[in-house]
Amino acid sequence: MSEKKIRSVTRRKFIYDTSLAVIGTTLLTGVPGSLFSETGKPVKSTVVLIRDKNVLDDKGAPRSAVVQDMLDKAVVALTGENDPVKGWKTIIRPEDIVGIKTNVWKYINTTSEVEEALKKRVMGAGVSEENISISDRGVLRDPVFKKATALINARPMRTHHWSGVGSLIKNYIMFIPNPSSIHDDSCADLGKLWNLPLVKDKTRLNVLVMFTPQFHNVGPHGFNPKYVWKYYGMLVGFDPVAIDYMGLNIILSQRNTFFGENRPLNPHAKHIVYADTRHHIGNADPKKINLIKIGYEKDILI
Amino acid sequence: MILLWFNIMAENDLRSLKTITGSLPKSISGWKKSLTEGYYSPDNLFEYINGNAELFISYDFRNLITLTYNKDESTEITVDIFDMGNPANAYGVFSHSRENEDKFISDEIESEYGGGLLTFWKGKFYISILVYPETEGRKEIVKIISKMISNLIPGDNTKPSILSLLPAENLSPFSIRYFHHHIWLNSHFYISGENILNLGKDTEAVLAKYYPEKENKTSTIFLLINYFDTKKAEIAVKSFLKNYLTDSENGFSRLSDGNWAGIEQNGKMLTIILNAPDRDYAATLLKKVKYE
Repeated sequence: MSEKKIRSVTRRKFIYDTSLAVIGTTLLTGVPGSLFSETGKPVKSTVVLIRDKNVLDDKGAPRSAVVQDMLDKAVVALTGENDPVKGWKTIIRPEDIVGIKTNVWKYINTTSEVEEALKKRVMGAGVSEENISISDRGVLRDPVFKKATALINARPMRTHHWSGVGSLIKNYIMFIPNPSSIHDDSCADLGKLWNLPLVKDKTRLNVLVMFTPQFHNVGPHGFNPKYVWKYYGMLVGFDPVAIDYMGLNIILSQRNTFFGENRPLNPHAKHIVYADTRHHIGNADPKKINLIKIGYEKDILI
Repeated sequence: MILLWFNIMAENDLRSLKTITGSLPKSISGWKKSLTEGYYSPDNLFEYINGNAELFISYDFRNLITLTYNKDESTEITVDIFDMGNPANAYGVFSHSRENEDKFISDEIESEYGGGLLTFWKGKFYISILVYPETEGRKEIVKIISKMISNLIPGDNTKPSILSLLPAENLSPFSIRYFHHHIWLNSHFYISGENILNLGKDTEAVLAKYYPEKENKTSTIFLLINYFDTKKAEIAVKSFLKNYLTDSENGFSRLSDGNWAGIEQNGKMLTIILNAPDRDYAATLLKKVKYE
Protein backbone atom coordinates (compact mmCIF):
# COMPACT_ATOMS: atom_id res chain seq x y z
CA MET A 1 0.00 0.00 0.00
CA SER A 2 1.57 3.27 -1.06
CA GLU A 3 1.75 6.22 1.28
CA LYS A 4 -0.34 8.27 -1.10
CA LYS A 5 -3.14 5.70 -1.10
CA ILE A 6 -3.17 5.35 2.67
CA ARG A 7 -3.28 9.09 3.16
CA SER A 8 -6.15 9.45 0.76
CA VAL A 9 -8.56 7.89 3.24
CA THR A 10 -7.38 9.51 6.44
CA ARG A 11 -9.38 11.83 8.67
CA ARG A 12 -8.11 14.84 6.72
CA LYS A 13 -10.08 13.78 3.67
CA PHE A 14 -12.98 12.71 5.83
CA ILE A 15 -13.21 16.20 7.36
CA TYR A 16 -13.39 17.67 3.85
CA ASP A 17 -16.14 15.25 2.75
CA THR A 18 -18.16 15.90 5.90
CA SER A 19 -17.97 19.64 5.30
CA LEU A 20 -19.49 19.16 1.87
CA ALA A 21 -22.32 17.13 3.37
CA VAL A 22 -23.13 19.88 5.85
CA ILE A 23 -23.08 22.55 3.16
CA GLY A 24 -25.49 20.44 1.16
CA THR A 25 -28.36 20.53 3.64
CA THR A 26 -29.87 23.53 1.86
CA LEU A 27 -31.75 22.00 -1.00
CA LEU A 28 -33.56 23.03 -4.12
CA THR A 29 -37.28 22.69 -4.74
CA GLY A 30 -38.11 19.40 -6.40
CA VAL A 31 -39.21 18.78 -9.95
CA PRO A 32 -41.70 15.93 -10.57
CA GLY A 33 -40.68 13.17 -12.93
CA SER A 34 -41.33 9.61 -14.00
CA LEU A 35 -39.42 6.40 -13.53
CA PHE A 36 -39.48 5.56 -17.20
CA SER A 37 -37.51 8.71 -17.94
CA GLU A 38 -34.97 7.96 -15.18
CA THR A 39 -33.02 4.83 -16.11
CA GLY A 40 -29.53 4.42 -14.68
CA LYS A 41 -28.01 7.08 -12.47
CA PRO A 42 -30.14 10.21 -12.89
CA VAL A 43 -28.65 13.64 -13.45
CA LYS A 44 -30.85 14.93 -10.69
CA SER A 45 -32.90 12.88 -8.22
CA THR A 46 -36.22 13.84 -6.72
CA VAL A 47 -36.97 12.77 -3.15
CA VAL A 48 -40.32 13.33 -1.45
CA LEU A 49 -40.36 13.70 2.32
CA ILE A 50 -43.90 13.40 3.60
CA ARG A 51 -44.84 13.64 7.29
CA ASP A 52 -48.19 13.32 9.07
CA LYS A 53 -48.47 13.49 12.84
CA ASN A 54 -51.60 11.32 12.71
CA VAL A 55 -49.80 8.38 11.17
CA LEU A 56 -49.23 6.79 14.59
CA ASP A 57 -52.02 5.89 16.99
CA ASP A 58 -51.88 6.20 20.78
CA LYS A 59 -49.90 2.96 21.02
CA GLY A 60 -47.46 3.98 18.34
CA ALA A 61 -48.91 1.70 15.65
CA PRO A 62 -49.37 3.05 12.10
CA ARG A 63 -52.88 3.93 10.95
CA SER A 64 -53.56 2.25 7.59
CA ALA A 65 -55.61 5.07 6.11
CA VAL A 66 -53.02 7.71 6.95
CA VAL A 67 -50.20 5.54 5.59
CA GLN A 68 -52.10 5.10 2.32
CA ASP A 69 -52.74 8.84 2.12
CA MET A 70 -49.07 9.65 2.71
CA LEU A 71 -47.93 7.19 0.06
CA ASP A 72 -50.48 8.51 -2.42
CA LYS A 73 -49.48 12.13 -1.91
CA ALA A 74 -45.82 11.21 -2.28
CA VAL A 75 -46.42 9.37 -5.56
CA VAL A 76 -48.50 12.26 -6.91
CA ALA A 77 -45.70 14.69 -6.08
CA LEU A 78 -43.07 12.37 -7.48
CA THR A 79 -44.77 11.60 -10.80
CA GLY A 80 -46.51 14.93 -11.42
CA GLU A 81 -49.81 13.13 -12.04
CA ASN A 82 -52.95 14.52 -10.41
CA ASP A 83 -54.12 11.17 -9.08
CA PRO A 84 -52.20 8.38 -7.29
CA VAL A 85 -53.55 5.61 -9.50
CA LYS A 86 -52.45 7.50 -12.59
CA GLY A 87 -49.12 8.11 -10.90
CA TRP A 88 -48.66 4.39 -10.22
CA LYS A 89 -49.41 3.62 -13.85
CA THR A 90 -46.28 5.54 -14.78
CA ILE A 91 -44.34 3.31 -12.37
CA ILE A 92 -45.82 -0.17 -12.85
CA ARG A 93 -47.18 -1.85 -15.99
CA PRO A 94 -50.10 -4.35 -15.80
CA GLU A 95 -47.91 -7.14 -17.17
CA ASP A 96 -45.23 -6.64 -14.53
CA ILE A 97 -44.36 -9.32 -11.99
CA VAL A 98 -43.70 -7.37 -8.82
CA GLY A 99 -41.59 -8.21 -5.78
CA ILE A 100 -42.06 -5.90 -2.82
CA LYS A 101 -38.85 -6.19 -0.84
CA THR A 102 -39.73 -5.48 2.74
CA ASN A 103 -37.83 -5.68 6.02
CA VAL A 104 -39.05 -7.86 8.86
CA TRP A 105 -36.67 -6.90 11.64
CA LYS A 106 -38.45 -7.75 14.88
CA TYR A 107 -38.27 -4.34 16.54
CA ILE A 108 -38.66 -1.80 13.72
CA ASN A 109 -39.95 -3.18 10.45
CA THR A 110 -41.47 -1.89 7.24
CA THR A 111 -44.93 -2.44 8.81
CA SER A 112 -47.79 -4.35 7.25
CA GLU A 113 -49.60 -1.05 6.73
CA VAL A 114 -46.91 0.16 4.30
CA GLU A 115 -46.73 -3.25 2.62
CA GLU A 116 -50.48 -3.33 2.07
CA ALA A 117 -50.60 0.27 0.84
CA LEU A 118 -47.97 -0.56 -1.76
CA LYS A 119 -49.67 -3.78 -2.80
CA LYS A 120 -53.01 -2.01 -3.20
CA ARG A 121 -51.55 0.54 -5.59
CA VAL A 122 -49.59 -2.07 -7.54
CA MET A 123 -52.86 -3.95 -8.05
CA GLY A 124 -54.49 -0.63 -8.93
CA ALA A 125 -51.96 -0.28 -11.71
CA GLY A 126 -53.34 -3.50 -13.20
CA VAL A 127 -51.06 -6.21 -11.78
CA SER A 128 -52.87 -9.38 -10.76
CA GLU A 129 -52.45 -10.51 -7.15
CA GLU A 130 -50.67 -13.76 -8.04
CA ASN A 131 -47.96 -11.70 -9.72
CA ILE A 132 -47.16 -9.81 -6.51
CA SER A 133 -45.11 -11.06 -3.58
CA ILE A 134 -43.97 -9.40 -0.37
CA SER A 135 -40.83 -10.88 1.11
CA ASP A 136 -37.60 -10.15 2.95
CA ARG A 137 -35.40 -13.09 3.88
CA GLY A 138 -37.01 -15.45 1.42
CA VAL A 139 -36.48 -13.50 -1.80
CA LEU A 140 -34.04 -16.01 -3.27
CA ARG A 141 -36.59 -18.83 -2.86
CA ASP A 142 -39.69 -16.85 -3.78
CA PRO A 143 -41.04 -17.76 -7.26
CA VAL A 144 -42.40 -14.26 -7.88
CA PHE A 145 -39.11 -12.61 -6.95
CA LYS A 146 -37.22 -15.10 -9.10
CA LYS A 147 -39.08 -13.98 -12.21
CA ALA A 148 -39.83 -10.42 -11.12
CA THR A 149 -39.76 -7.70 -13.77
CA ALA A 150 -40.22 -4.96 -11.19
CA LEU A 151 -39.14 -4.44 -7.59
CA ILE A 152 -40.42 -2.07 -4.94
CA ASN A 153 -38.04 -1.51 -2.08
CA ALA A 154 -39.46 -0.54 1.31
CA ARG A 155 -37.82 -0.53 4.71
CA PRO A 156 -37.33 1.59 7.83
CA MET A 157 -34.10 3.44 8.54
CA ARG A 158 -32.20 2.68 11.72
CA THR A 159 -28.67 2.81 12.94
CA HIS A 160 -26.73 -0.39 12.43
CA HIS A 161 -23.67 -1.76 14.23
CA TRP A 162 -21.78 -2.72 11.12
CA SER A 163 -22.98 -0.52 8.26
CA GLY A 164 -23.81 2.70 10.13
CA VAL A 165 -27.44 2.60 9.09
CA GLY A 166 -29.84 0.03 7.74
CA SER A 167 -30.69 1.68 4.44
CA LEU A 168 -32.59 1.11 1.21
CA ILE A 169 -29.30 0.18 -0.39
CA LYS A 170 -28.65 -2.39 2.34
CA ASN A 171 -32.15 -3.84 2.06
CA TYR A 172 -31.06 -5.82 -1.01
CA ILE A 173 -28.50 -7.79 1.01
CA MET A 174 -30.93 -10.72 1.00
CA PHE A 175 -30.45 -11.07 -2.75
CA ILE A 176 -27.14 -12.82 -2.06
CA PRO A 177 -26.98 -16.27 -0.40
CA ASN A 178 -24.35 -15.27 2.16
CA PRO A 179 -25.14 -11.75 3.42
CA SER A 180 -22.19 -11.65 5.84
CA SER A 181 -19.82 -11.89 2.87
CA ILE A 182 -20.41 -8.20 2.21
CA HIS A 183 -19.59 -7.03 5.73
CA ASP A 184 -16.01 -5.94 4.95
CA ASP A 185 -15.03 -2.34 5.69
CA SER A 186 -18.33 -1.49 7.41
CA CYS A 187 -20.32 -2.85 4.44
CA ALA A 188 -18.72 -0.20 2.23
CA ASP A 189 -19.71 -1.90 -1.01
CA LEU A 190 -23.37 -2.66 -0.45
CA GLY A 191 -24.02 -0.67 -3.60
CA LYS A 192 -22.74 -3.52 -5.74
CA LEU A 193 -25.82 -5.53 -4.75
CA TRP A 194 -27.80 -3.27 -7.05
CA ASN A 195 -25.87 -4.49 -10.03
CA LEU A 196 -26.77 -8.15 -9.46
CA PRO A 197 -28.68 -9.62 -12.44
CA LEU A 198 -31.62 -10.44 -10.18
CA VAL A 199 -31.93 -6.78 -9.24
CA LYS A 200 -30.29 -4.54 -11.81
CA ASP A 201 -32.60 -1.94 -13.37
CA LYS A 202 -35.71 -3.50 -11.84
CA THR A 203 -36.42 -1.18 -8.93
CA ARG A 204 -39.38 1.06 -9.68
CA LEU A 205 -39.92 2.76 -6.33
CA ASN A 206 -38.14 3.13 -3.01
CA VAL A 207 -39.84 3.89 0.28
CA LEU A 208 -37.79 4.67 3.36
CA VAL A 209 -40.11 4.41 6.32
CA MET A 210 -39.32 7.01 8.98
CA PHE A 211 -42.29 6.63 11.32
CA THR A 212 -40.11 5.68 14.30
CA PRO A 213 -36.44 5.60 13.25
CA GLN A 214 -33.62 4.56 15.56
CA PHE A 215 -30.69 6.97 15.80
CA HIS A 216 -28.25 5.15 18.07
CA ASN A 217 -27.20 1.56 18.72
CA VAL A 218 -26.68 -0.13 22.04
CA GLY A 219 -26.72 -3.81 22.93
CA PRO A 220 -26.23 -7.05 21.05
CA HIS A 221 -29.51 -6.87 19.15
CA GLY A 222 -28.84 -3.36 17.90
CA PHE A 223 -32.08 -2.16 19.40
CA ASN A 224 -32.70 0.21 22.24
CA PRO A 225 -36.10 1.91 22.57
CA LYS A 226 -34.41 4.83 24.31
CA TYR A 227 -32.95 5.87 20.97
CA VAL A 228 -36.11 5.49 18.89
CA TRP A 229 -38.16 8.62 18.21
CA LYS A 230 -41.41 9.49 16.49
CA TYR A 231 -40.64 11.27 13.25
CA TYR A 232 -43.96 10.49 11.49
CA GLY A 233 -42.28 10.48 8.09
CA MET A 234 -41.67 8.61 4.90
CA LEU A 235 -39.12 9.29 2.15
CA VAL A 236 -40.19 8.23 -1.32
CA GLY A 237 -38.42 8.34 -4.66
CA PHE A 238 -36.79 6.51 -7.53
CA ASP A 239 -33.19 6.93 -6.44
CA PRO A 240 -32.34 4.80 -3.36
CA VAL A 241 -29.03 6.56 -2.83
CA ALA A 242 -30.58 10.03 -2.76
CA ILE A 243 -33.29 8.85 -0.36
CA ASP A 244 -30.78 7.14 1.92
CA TYR A 245 -28.65 10.29 1.85
CA MET A 246 -31.62 12.34 3.07
CA GLY A 247 -32.62 9.74 5.66
CA LEU A 248 -29.06 9.61 6.93
CA ASN A 249 -28.98 13.38 7.37
CA ILE A 250 -32.18 13.21 9.43
CA ILE A 251 -30.62 10.51 11.64
CA LEU A 252 -27.45 12.56 12.06
CA SER A 253 -29.42 15.69 12.93
CA GLN A 254 -31.37 13.78 15.56
CA ARG A 255 -28.14 12.43 17.04
CA ASN A 256 -26.66 15.90 17.31
CA THR A 257 -29.88 17.24 18.83
CA PHE A 258 -30.17 14.41 21.35
CA PHE A 259 -26.55 14.27 22.42
CA GLY A 260 -25.99 18.03 22.30
CA GLU A 261 -22.79 17.70 20.33
CA ASN A 262 -21.61 16.55 16.94
CA ARG A 263 -21.98 12.75 17.10
CA PRO A 264 -21.03 11.03 13.84
CA LEU A 265 -22.37 7.55 13.32
CA ASN A 266 -20.49 4.65 14.79
CA PRO A 267 -19.44 3.34 12.30
CA HIS A 268 -19.91 5.80 9.46
CA ALA A 269 -22.47 4.87 6.80
CA LYS A 270 -19.89 5.05 4.06
CA HIS A 271 -21.83 2.66 1.83
CA ILE A 272 -24.23 5.45 0.87
CA VAL A 273 -21.56 7.71 -0.62
CA TYR A 274 -19.81 4.72 -2.20
CA ALA A 275 -23.08 3.64 -3.83
CA ASP A 276 -22.76 6.89 -5.77
CA THR A 277 -19.02 7.25 -6.31
CA ARG A 278 -18.03 3.58 -6.71
CA HIS A 279 -21.15 1.84 -7.94
CA HIS A 280 -22.95 4.67 -9.73
CA ILE A 281 -26.47 3.66 -8.77
CA GLY A 282 -27.65 7.06 -7.58
CA ASN A 283 -26.81 10.45 -6.18
CA ALA A 284 -25.36 11.08 -2.74
CA ASP A 285 -24.49 14.63 -3.72
CA PRO A 286 -26.94 17.18 -2.25
CA LYS A 287 -26.47 19.43 -5.25
CA LYS A 288 -28.04 16.68 -7.34
CA ILE A 289 -31.06 16.04 -5.12
CA ASN A 290 -34.37 17.88 -5.25
CA LEU A 291 -36.18 17.46 -1.94
CA ILE A 292 -39.95 18.00 -1.88
CA LYS A 293 -41.32 18.43 1.64
CA ILE A 294 -45.01 17.74 2.31
CA GLY A 295 -46.96 17.91 5.56
CA TYR A 296 -45.94 18.22 9.19
CA GLU A 297 -42.97 20.54 9.57
CA LYS A 298 -42.15 20.59 13.28
CA ASP A 299 -38.76 19.03 14.12
CA ILE A 300 -38.28 18.11 10.49
CA LEU A 301 -34.48 18.14 11.00
CA ILE A 302 -33.64 18.75 7.35
CA MET B 1 -2.82 -31.76 21.80
CA ILE B 2 -3.24 -27.96 21.82
CA LEU B 3 -6.56 -28.28 19.98
CA LEU B 4 -7.74 -30.83 22.52
CA TRP B 5 -6.79 -28.48 25.36
CA PHE B 6 -8.76 -25.64 23.74
CA ASN B 7 -11.78 -27.91 23.31
CA ILE B 8 -11.67 -28.93 26.97
CA MET B 9 -11.38 -25.27 28.02
CA ALA B 10 -14.31 -24.30 25.78
CA GLU B 11 -16.44 -27.07 27.26
CA ASN B 12 -15.55 -25.94 30.76
CA ASP B 13 -16.45 -22.34 29.84
CA LEU B 14 -19.82 -23.42 28.48
CA ARG B 15 -20.45 -25.56 31.55
CA SER B 16 -19.89 -22.60 33.86
CA LEU B 17 -22.26 -20.53 31.74
CA LYS B 18 -24.90 -23.26 31.89
CA THR B 19 -24.55 -23.32 35.66
CA ILE B 20 -25.59 -19.67 35.75
CA THR B 21 -28.59 -20.01 33.45
CA GLY B 22 -29.59 -23.33 35.01
CA SER B 23 -29.79 -21.63 38.40
CA LEU B 24 -32.29 -19.04 37.25
CA PRO B 25 -35.82 -19.82 38.48
CA LYS B 26 -38.38 -21.39 36.16
CA SER B 27 -40.90 -18.71 36.96
CA ILE B 28 -40.72 -15.12 38.21
CA SER B 29 -43.99 -13.35 39.06
CA GLY B 30 -45.84 -15.23 36.35
CA TRP B 31 -43.05 -14.95 33.76
CA LYS B 32 -42.12 -18.44 32.58
CA LYS B 33 -38.58 -19.36 31.69
CA SER B 34 -38.13 -20.89 28.23
CA LEU B 35 -37.72 -24.65 28.21
CA THR B 36 -34.81 -24.47 25.80
CA GLU B 37 -31.74 -22.28 25.65
CA GLY B 38 -29.78 -21.11 22.63
CA TYR B 39 -26.04 -21.84 22.56
CA TYR B 40 -23.71 -19.93 20.27
CA SER B 41 -19.97 -19.98 19.69
CA PRO B 42 -17.80 -17.71 17.50
CA ASP B 43 -18.58 -20.01 14.57
CA ASN B 44 -22.32 -19.39 14.56
CA LEU B 45 -22.90 -16.21 16.57
CA PHE B 46 -23.88 -14.38 13.39
CA GLU B 47 -26.94 -16.65 13.16
CA TYR B 48 -28.26 -15.01 16.31
CA ILE B 49 -27.05 -11.43 15.98
CA ASN B 50 -26.13 -11.03 12.34
CA GLY B 51 -24.33 -7.75 11.86
CA ASN B 52 -23.33 -7.48 15.49
CA ALA B 53 -21.36 -10.69 15.82
CA GLU B 54 -18.14 -9.10 14.61
CA LEU B 55 -18.09 -6.76 17.59
CA PHE B 56 -18.13 -9.63 20.06
CA ILE B 57 -15.70 -11.79 18.12
CA SER B 58 -13.19 -8.93 18.01
CA TYR B 59 -13.26 -9.00 21.82
CA ASP B 60 -12.42 -12.73 21.93
CA PHE B 61 -15.98 -13.90 22.52
CA ARG B 62 -16.22 -17.53 23.68
CA ASN B 63 -19.84 -18.59 24.27
CA LEU B 64 -23.34 -17.17 24.46
CA ILE B 65 -26.37 -18.62 26.15
CA THR B 66 -29.69 -16.99 25.38
CA LEU B 67 -33.04 -17.67 27.01
CA THR B 68 -36.37 -15.95 27.42
CA TYR B 69 -39.01 -15.32 30.02
CA ASN B 70 -42.54 -15.15 28.61
CA LYS B 71 -45.77 -13.95 30.11
CA ASP B 72 -47.97 -14.15 27.04
CA GLU B 73 -47.50 -14.94 23.38
CA SER B 74 -46.51 -11.44 22.37
CA THR B 75 -44.26 -10.34 25.22
CA GLU B 76 -40.95 -11.78 26.19
CA ILE B 77 -37.85 -10.85 28.09
CA THR B 78 -34.69 -11.85 26.25
CA VAL B 79 -31.68 -12.69 28.40
CA ASP B 80 -28.29 -12.99 26.70
CA ILE B 81 -25.17 -13.91 28.66
CA PHE B 82 -21.88 -13.64 26.77
CA ASP B 83 -18.71 -15.29 28.03
CA MET B 84 -15.99 -12.90 26.84
CA GLY B 85 -13.04 -14.95 28.12
CA ASN B 86 -11.80 -12.36 30.64
CA PRO B 87 -13.06 -9.29 32.53
CA ALA B 88 -11.16 -6.85 30.32
CA ASN B 89 -13.05 -7.92 27.23
CA ALA B 90 -16.38 -8.02 29.04
CA TYR B 91 -15.73 -4.42 30.10
CA GLY B 92 -14.60 -3.61 26.54
CA VAL B 93 -17.86 -4.73 24.96
CA PHE B 94 -19.85 -2.85 27.60
CA SER B 95 -17.76 0.29 27.09
CA HIS B 96 -18.15 0.12 23.32
CA SER B 97 -21.60 1.63 23.15
CA ARG B 98 -22.73 2.78 26.60
CA GLU B 99 -23.65 6.44 26.84
CA ASN B 100 -24.21 6.47 30.55
CA GLU B 101 -23.81 4.32 33.63
CA ASP B 102 -26.34 3.79 36.37
CA LYS B 103 -26.82 1.84 39.57
CA PHE B 104 -29.78 -0.10 38.21
CA ILE B 105 -28.60 -3.39 39.75
CA SER B 106 -26.38 -2.26 42.62
CA ASP B 107 -23.67 0.26 43.50
CA GLU B 108 -20.99 -2.25 42.54
CA ILE B 109 -22.24 -3.14 39.05
CA GLU B 110 -21.70 -0.85 36.06
CA SER B 111 -24.85 -0.98 34.00
CA GLU B 112 -26.93 1.05 31.56
CA TYR B 113 -30.70 0.83 31.50
CA GLY B 114 -33.00 2.65 29.13
CA GLY B 115 -36.31 1.99 27.44
CA GLY B 116 -36.40 -1.70 28.31
CA LEU B 117 -32.77 -2.63 27.56
CA LEU B 118 -30.32 -3.37 30.35
CA THR B 119 -26.65 -4.04 29.64
CA PHE B 120 -24.01 -4.71 32.28
CA TRP B 121 -20.86 -6.68 32.89
CA LYS B 122 -19.54 -8.74 35.74
CA GLY B 123 -16.37 -10.80 35.79
CA LYS B 124 -15.82 -12.21 32.32
CA PHE B 125 -19.50 -11.94 31.37
CA TYR B 126 -21.37 -9.29 29.41
CA ILE B 127 -25.13 -9.46 29.91
CA SER B 128 -28.03 -7.98 27.97
CA ILE B 129 -31.66 -8.15 29.10
CA LEU B 130 -34.28 -6.72 26.77
CA VAL B 131 -38.01 -6.29 27.19
CA TYR B 132 -40.11 -4.40 24.67
CA PRO B 133 -42.34 -2.57 24.99
CA GLU B 134 -41.30 -1.46 28.42
CA THR B 135 -43.65 -1.04 31.37
CA GLU B 136 -42.86 -0.34 35.03
CA GLY B 137 -43.84 -3.90 35.90
CA ARG B 138 -41.58 -5.39 33.25
CA LYS B 139 -38.75 -3.12 34.32
CA GLU B 140 -39.00 -4.61 37.83
CA ILE B 141 -38.74 -8.14 36.42
CA VAL B 142 -35.64 -7.11 34.47
CA LYS B 143 -34.17 -5.82 37.72
CA ILE B 144 -34.94 -9.07 39.56
CA ILE B 145 -33.37 -11.20 36.83
CA SER B 146 -30.29 -8.99 36.61
CA LYS B 147 -29.72 -9.17 40.36
CA MET B 148 -30.01 -12.95 40.24
CA ILE B 149 -27.49 -13.23 37.41
CA SER B 150 -25.15 -10.81 39.09
CA ASN B 151 -25.25 -12.83 42.31
CA LEU B 152 -24.62 -16.06 40.42
CA ILE B 153 -21.39 -14.71 38.90
CA PRO B 154 -18.52 -15.02 41.38
CA GLY B 155 -15.85 -12.38 41.93
CA ASP B 156 -15.82 -8.67 41.31
CA ASN B 157 -15.34 -6.28 38.42
CA THR B 158 -11.69 -5.63 37.72
CA LYS B 159 -11.21 -3.16 34.90
CA PRO B 160 -8.22 -3.26 32.54
CA SER B 161 -5.20 -1.76 34.31
CA ILE B 162 -4.46 0.56 31.37
CA LEU B 163 -7.48 2.65 32.41
CA SER B 164 -5.62 3.76 35.53
CA LEU B 165 -3.21 5.74 33.33
CA LEU B 166 -5.93 8.09 32.09
CA PRO B 167 -5.53 11.61 33.51
CA ALA B 168 -8.53 12.37 35.72
CA GLU B 169 -8.96 16.10 35.10
CA ASN B 170 -11.65 17.02 32.55
CA LEU B 171 -12.23 13.36 31.69
CA SER B 172 -15.73 12.51 30.49
CA PRO B 173 -16.18 9.22 32.42
CA PHE B 174 -18.70 7.56 30.13
CA SER B 175 -16.58 8.27 27.08
CA ILE B 176 -13.97 5.63 27.94
CA ARG B 177 -13.74 2.89 25.28
CA TYR B 178 -11.49 -0.14 25.58
CA PHE B 179 -10.72 -2.21 22.46
CA HIS B 180 -8.23 -4.17 20.39
CA HIS B 181 -9.43 -3.92 16.79
CA HIS B 182 -8.64 -0.83 14.71
CA ILE B 183 -12.16 -0.64 13.30
CA TRP B 184 -13.44 0.30 16.76
CA LEU B 185 -10.92 3.12 16.93
CA ASN B 186 -12.34 4.41 13.67
CA SER B 187 -15.88 4.04 14.91
CA HIS B 188 -15.14 6.25 17.91
CA PHE B 189 -12.80 8.65 16.13
CA TYR B 190 -12.06 8.16 12.48
CA ILE B 191 -8.35 8.19 11.69
CA SER B 192 -7.79 6.10 8.59
CA GLY B 193 -9.32 3.30 6.59
CA GLU B 194 -6.02 1.48 7.02
CA ASN B 195 -4.69 0.09 10.28
CA ILE B 196 -1.87 2.65 10.48
CA LEU B 197 -1.37 2.12 14.23
CA ASN B 198 -1.01 -1.67 13.86
CA LEU B 199 -3.75 -2.42 16.38
CA GLY B 200 -4.79 -6.02 16.85
CA LYS B 201 -5.54 -8.79 19.32
CA ASP B 202 -2.04 -8.47 20.78
CA THR B 203 -2.50 -4.81 21.65
CA GLU B 204 -4.90 -3.06 23.98
CA ALA B 205 -6.14 0.46 23.50
CA VAL B 206 -8.22 2.89 25.49
CA LEU B 207 -9.83 6.00 24.06
CA ALA B 208 -11.43 8.75 26.12
CA LYS B 209 -12.80 12.23 25.64
CA TYR B 210 -11.67 15.31 27.52
CA TYR B 211 -13.48 18.61 27.69
CA PRO B 212 -10.92 21.31 28.48
CA GLU B 213 -13.66 23.91 29.04
CA LYS B 214 -17.03 22.96 30.49
CA GLU B 215 -18.98 25.17 28.12
CA ASN B 216 -17.03 23.84 25.15
CA LYS B 217 -18.82 20.95 23.47
CA THR B 218 -15.80 19.96 21.41
CA SER B 219 -13.91 17.11 22.96
CA THR B 220 -10.23 16.35 22.84
CA ILE B 221 -9.50 12.71 22.10
CA PHE B 222 -7.03 10.81 24.23
CA LEU B 223 -5.77 7.50 22.85
CA LEU B 224 -3.46 5.25 24.82
CA ILE B 225 -2.12 2.01 23.35
CA ASN B 226 -0.12 -0.76 25.00
CA TYR B 227 1.88 -2.75 22.45
CA PHE B 228 3.49 -4.93 25.14
CA ASP B 229 6.68 -4.53 23.10
CA THR B 230 8.83 -1.41 22.69
CA LYS B 231 9.86 -2.29 19.14
CA LYS B 232 6.23 -2.60 18.03
CA ALA B 233 5.45 0.75 19.62
CA GLU B 234 8.33 2.35 17.71
CA ILE B 235 7.05 0.95 14.43
CA ALA B 236 3.58 2.32 15.17
CA VAL B 237 5.00 5.79 15.89
CA LYS B 238 6.82 5.81 12.55
CA SER B 239 3.70 4.68 10.72
CA PHE B 240 1.54 7.33 12.38
CA LEU B 241 4.03 10.09 11.60
CA LYS B 242 4.37 8.91 8.03
CA ASN B 243 0.67 8.48 7.31
CA TYR B 244 -1.11 10.94 9.55
CA LEU B 245 1.09 13.60 11.18
CA THR B 246 3.05 14.10 8.00
CA ASP B 247 4.06 17.68 8.73
CA SER B 248 4.62 17.41 12.47
CA GLU B 249 7.17 19.29 14.52
CA ASN B 250 8.40 17.38 17.57
CA GLY B 251 5.36 15.11 17.39
CA PHE B 252 2.73 17.86 17.08
CA SER B 253 0.75 18.97 14.06
CA ARG B 254 -2.19 21.25 13.30
CA LEU B 255 -4.77 19.59 11.04
CA SER B 256 -6.88 21.22 8.34
CA ASP B 257 -9.85 21.63 10.69
CA GLY B 258 -7.69 23.84 12.94
CA ASN B 259 -7.36 21.28 15.74
CA TRP B 260 -4.08 19.90 17.04
CA ALA B 261 -2.72 16.38 17.31
CA GLY B 262 0.28 15.07 19.22
CA ILE B 263 2.05 11.78 19.86
CA GLU B 264 4.42 10.47 22.50
CA GLN B 265 6.00 7.07 23.04
CA ASN B 266 7.06 5.73 26.41
CA GLY B 267 8.58 2.28 26.02
CA LYS B 268 5.85 -0.13 25.00
CA MET B 269 3.17 2.54 25.47
CA LEU B 270 1.99 5.06 22.92
CA THR B 271 -0.17 8.11 23.65
CA ILE B 272 -1.89 10.15 20.97
CA ILE B 273 -3.86 13.35 21.44
CA LEU B 274 -6.36 14.32 18.73
CA ASN B 275 -8.79 17.15 18.22
CA ALA B 276 -7.06 19.38 20.81
CA PRO B 277 -7.99 23.09 20.65
CA ASP B 278 -4.31 24.15 20.76
CA ARG B 279 -0.84 22.74 20.98
CA ASP B 280 -0.42 23.61 24.65
CA TYR B 281 -3.43 21.56 25.68
CA ALA B 282 -2.24 18.58 23.64
CA ALA B 283 1.19 18.82 25.26
CA THR B 284 -0.28 19.24 28.75
CA LEU B 285 -2.46 16.18 28.35
CA LEU B 286 0.49 14.11 27.15
CA LYS B 287 2.52 15.13 30.20
CA LYS B 288 -0.23 14.06 32.58
CA VAL B 289 0.10 10.38 31.77
CA LYS B 290 1.76 8.63 34.74
CA TYR B 291 3.46 5.71 33.02
CA GLU B 292 4.30 2.78 35.27
